[in-house]
Amino acid sequence: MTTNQPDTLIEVSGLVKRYGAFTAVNGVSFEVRRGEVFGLLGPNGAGKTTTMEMMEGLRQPDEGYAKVAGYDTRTQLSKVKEVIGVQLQSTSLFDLLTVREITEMYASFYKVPTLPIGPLLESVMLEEKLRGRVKHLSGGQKQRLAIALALVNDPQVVFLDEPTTGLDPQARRMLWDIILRLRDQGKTIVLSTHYMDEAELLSDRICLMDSGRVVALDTPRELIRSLGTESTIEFRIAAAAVAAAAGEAPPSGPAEELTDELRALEGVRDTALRKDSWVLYSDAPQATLTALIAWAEHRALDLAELRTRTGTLEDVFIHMTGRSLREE
Amino acid sequence: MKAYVQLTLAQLRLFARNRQVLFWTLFFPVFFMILLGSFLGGDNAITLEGLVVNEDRSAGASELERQLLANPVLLSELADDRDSALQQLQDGDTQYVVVLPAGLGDAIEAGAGEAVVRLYTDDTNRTVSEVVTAAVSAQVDQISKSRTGYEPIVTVEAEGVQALNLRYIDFLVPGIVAMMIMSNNLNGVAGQIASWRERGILRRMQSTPLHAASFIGAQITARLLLNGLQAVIVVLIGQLAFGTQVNGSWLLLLGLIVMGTLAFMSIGFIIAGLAKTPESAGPIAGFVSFPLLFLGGVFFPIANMPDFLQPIVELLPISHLATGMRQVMNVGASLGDIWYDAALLGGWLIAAFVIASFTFKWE
Repeated sequence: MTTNQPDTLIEVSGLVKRYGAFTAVNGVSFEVRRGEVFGLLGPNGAGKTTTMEMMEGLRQPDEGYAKVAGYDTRTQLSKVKEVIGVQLQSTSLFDLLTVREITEMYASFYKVPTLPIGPLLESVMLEEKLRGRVKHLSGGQKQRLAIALALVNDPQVVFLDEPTTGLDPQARRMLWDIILRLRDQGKTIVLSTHYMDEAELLSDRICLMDSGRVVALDTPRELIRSLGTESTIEFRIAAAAVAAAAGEAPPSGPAEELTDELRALEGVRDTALRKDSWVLYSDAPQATLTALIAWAEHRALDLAELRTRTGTLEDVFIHMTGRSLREE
Repeated sequence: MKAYVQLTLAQLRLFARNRQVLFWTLFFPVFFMILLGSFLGGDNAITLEGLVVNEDRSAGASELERQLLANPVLLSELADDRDSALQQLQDGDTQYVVVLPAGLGDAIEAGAGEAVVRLYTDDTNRTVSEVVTAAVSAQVDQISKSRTGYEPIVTVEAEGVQALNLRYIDFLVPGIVAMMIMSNNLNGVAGQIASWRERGILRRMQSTPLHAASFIGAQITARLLLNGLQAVIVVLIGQLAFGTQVNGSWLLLLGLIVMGTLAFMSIGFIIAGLAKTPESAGPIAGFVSFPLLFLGGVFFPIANMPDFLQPIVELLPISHLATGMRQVMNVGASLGDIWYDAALLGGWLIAAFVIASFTFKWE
């Protein structure tokens, strides 16, 4: 196959994983190139973690295979484990050990030469916590330690499974800096996340997943460009105003009546409504905006927080699946 | 090898730093020892204290009175009148009353078999009343025999054997060490491994080249060190506080501790494999260890168990761990004496280890 090509580090082909009647991963194929940050983006339950765990050799696929650095996870697992570093979504560490002790312990698991502990912990900004116990670390510090442990064997590829979930914004940004620095050092990183801003910022290429399948795979820029010239126009109308504007309770309800009217505006391809925020997808934003304002004046409605933007990965996901990334 | 060393060190550090667990695992057996040792401890030799009332002042009655008071089994004192003596018996202040009624001396002289000595005992205390009856009867018998010029056909030659002076605490301490080994390993391993699995600690290790053998080997080493130390501490506390002895070889005792640790650790690994969540590991371990605690001869001798339980009790690993240690500590038994206990414990060890190695899973 293509694993011998210099720029392909991971090859995933036709992966299927079933749990009883439920198929968690349903025929996933892609390649990860050496030195790139490869983002797996999708809502919870899309199969990101299961796909990652099959690449790490933690789960055996029911069908298909994954090869890392040319080693098949089904038959050469011990080789695979020496060249990968893993941060799992929900790992806790021994609370009563110190940062140094736990790093030394993980280093002892590898046959390959491991990194010196001082500089390693410095690279994740934990050098001052060397003697501190794990239980006294903050959430962000624990996550940085988990990344240090994933790096201890100087792996060719690092798997980071939702590394920033549950962290505060400052801790997230710190982690992003670390990941970007790793990329600059030439590490290959497979990153799963359900935050589209994170995927967009960090990833060289993004694999959009939904219901166990790959729905799109490209660079963030290309994914957004695939939406065409589409722009979105967002605004808010107070629910009370909507009801008042719709007059005496139309059979379809007030929101539906407005939706029909908005969809009829020039250039509008689709609309979406979340609580009282409206989104118009338009091929011709300028014409749509003009028509929208005229319509609002005619209806005597206030458009609050009116703004336009070009598409995001969120829009790509909605476009591909008809559902929102944030849906639980 | 370095993984094994590091994991052993890590486990020992976890033990040492988890002060609360360390305290309670040591405090619990020592507390039990002191509690049971002080309340149930005492001497279990029977003491016989009673009163002799002599209502007949004849030479024959006085001779009997003298002999009864001199009897080494009966600790009798002379009382003045029958009524107050019987009152003391009813109040539980004394255990028996022997009355030599008026006219006893004459009746003995007459030799017509009409001489009667009255013995009053507390019927609620059967053991005492049986022993007293036997002792008084023997004493009275001697009078009869000497009067009739009786020649014994068979005589008993008493030979003094120095019996082991065993007290309840001597029985208890080995049992408590066995209990400690069981609960630390069975409950400890089941709870810890199930929790490490739940928290993803094992899974994270599984993503490294670490072998299960290094992991399990380190667990075994660390727990053997800890258990050995704890067992020795409990035995030493028993020696210092209660004067319990280790008559046999310490090496053999340590051997039994090692076997018990390995057997109960393996059972703990099996439970950790069966338990779906760490929350269920505790109750399952309790379900297994609680009956063992009561059926395994930890607090009470196995012989005191009802007959229908005996075949079950005979198979339990804790019974043989406790019995083996008891034999070594109390009687000074050698391996030849306790081979059966050691073999049964070894059988449990091997069976549990085989099952555990098949049921162990990282996730």
